[in-house]
Amino acid sequence: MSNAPAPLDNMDLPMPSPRQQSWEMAKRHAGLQIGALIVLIALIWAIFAPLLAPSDPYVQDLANRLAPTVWQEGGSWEHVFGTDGFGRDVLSRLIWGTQVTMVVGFGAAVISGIVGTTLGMLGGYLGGRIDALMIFVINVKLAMPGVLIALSLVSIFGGSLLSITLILSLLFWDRFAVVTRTATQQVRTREFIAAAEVSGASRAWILFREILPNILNQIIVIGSLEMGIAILIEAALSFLGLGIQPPTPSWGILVSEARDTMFFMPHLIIIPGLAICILVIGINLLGDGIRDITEPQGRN
Amino acid sequence: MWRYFVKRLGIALLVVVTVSIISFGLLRLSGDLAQNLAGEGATPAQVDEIRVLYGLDRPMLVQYFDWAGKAVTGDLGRSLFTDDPVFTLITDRMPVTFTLAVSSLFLAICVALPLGVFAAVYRNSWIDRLALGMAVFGSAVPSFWFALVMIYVFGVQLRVLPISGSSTWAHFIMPTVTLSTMVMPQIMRLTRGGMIEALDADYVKMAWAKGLSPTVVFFKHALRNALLPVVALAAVSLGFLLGGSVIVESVFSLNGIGSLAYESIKRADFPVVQSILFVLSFVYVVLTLLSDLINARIDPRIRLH
Repeated sequence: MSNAPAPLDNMDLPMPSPRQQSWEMAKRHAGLQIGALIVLIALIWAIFAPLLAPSDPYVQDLANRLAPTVWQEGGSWEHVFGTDGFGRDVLSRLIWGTQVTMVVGFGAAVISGIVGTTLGMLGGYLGGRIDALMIFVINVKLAMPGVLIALSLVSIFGGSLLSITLILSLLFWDRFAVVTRTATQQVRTREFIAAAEVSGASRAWILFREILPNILNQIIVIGSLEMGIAILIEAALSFLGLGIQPPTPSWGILVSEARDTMFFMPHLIIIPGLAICILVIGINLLGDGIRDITEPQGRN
Repeated sequence: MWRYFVKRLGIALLVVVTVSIISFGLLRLSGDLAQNLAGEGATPAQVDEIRVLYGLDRPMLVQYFDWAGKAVTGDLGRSLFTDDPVFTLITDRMPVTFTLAVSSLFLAICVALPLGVFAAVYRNSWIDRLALGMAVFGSAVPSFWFALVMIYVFGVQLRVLPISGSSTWAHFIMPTVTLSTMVMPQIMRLTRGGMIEALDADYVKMAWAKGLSPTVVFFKHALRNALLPVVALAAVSLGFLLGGSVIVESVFSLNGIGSLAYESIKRADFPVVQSILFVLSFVYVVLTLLSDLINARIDPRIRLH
């Protein structure tokens, strides 16, 4: 039949599922891909540090102190980034340092995310006095100078990986709380929440099964942001000598140890600093990318 | 307006009291202060003597009210290390940190505000991309590292700027640039976002339809509304910069509040540390209160809410 309306055929085509749409967008999203690649490399470095590092990050070789990098005169492939002031291999210390960075960054983001999201959702959903109390707690938190509090707490509880992760988690829950509170207030007026309430769902069910999936998007973006900030602050604390303690290789310590020799060996400062910078940019790109592909409207 | 003012003031006072309790309690977490002060080799009798000398044998509540009561009159106790009054220690160091924070905020606003406006007006142009690139880099660069790289380039290689101290205004250039990167990205993003929202709003379309000049539309209609959240952010940023200058002060050997806090934390000088935490929080609360009042003045919707 030649006069059959052609466009009707198109209606049989299945609509791509949201998951397929996200996947299609991800394949065209350069920022997401670059971010994912950077984070993936950092993860591989952190997990397989013992296998990947060319030498032991703690072994000193005083006869071979401040060896040049492979691209400098006299450099060798044995020490690609040269050696530090104690003759330790810089590349190995950089690779091992990824462990500290990723554990502190990810740990602080997850713990503060759980605390902040719980507080924010409770305030946003329950409203009234609980909400007023929430706002007050957030105001108090915002008024305190975070970096100085972190420095004081680290000086009290010591610079172990666990204490630094917990202390940094204490500092970052407020942004999660503010954002999830507002997001919850918007979601709770929607019909499906009313439907769940009418059908007798418990508060916990509504909070975690109805509201949480709808605000997860925003939580991921804040999470990536906070993970980046936690990494920067851990590096700063370690740089100031009140964070992870030497000789453990943290990227902040690598910079601080290279300070004495920075005037004639600037690469010892530049390499770990750039590593921090690139990783934080990667994490932020990944977070923004995930938001873009899971939120059809995109930015703005 | 008065109702709003009184309510806001009441909350601010409550925050200040809570913050004072936290700053006071925080350092009591470190265990037995008397033991710490006496040192490791002290006999129990010596520890007890120190406990009585510093009033640490009294109940916690009494100690708090004693400290808070004196703090209201400006007496913040004495340093355990130098025995100087904490109040003078802080007021001696404040000018350096204040100069640094204000000039950093000023620089950040001077760069971020025009950049944010142009990025919003010429969306997706090269200037928008430049602004975004700067924001991405600015929020990912470790400030201590940025400071060291600047010292290497401008202080050592080019020899155009002094690398430490605070004797002339030139000493403040690199610290100011470093510190301003901590707040510049946020101010730029907020300005850009606010401008984009304002430019899409009906009253701006109306302004165009009336045939007003672009200058009037951009600056009088759009920017005024876009600036509301930026005023609040600027106040918050100033408070943040006062407390966040510790890293920059340490790298450039500036004798401000940040380095005083850092030294005092390292030697467990708790009257100084708790007072700095309290004073900085107090300044922050005052700044946010002021910004709220300024915003209520600009935007009547806030005070009538």
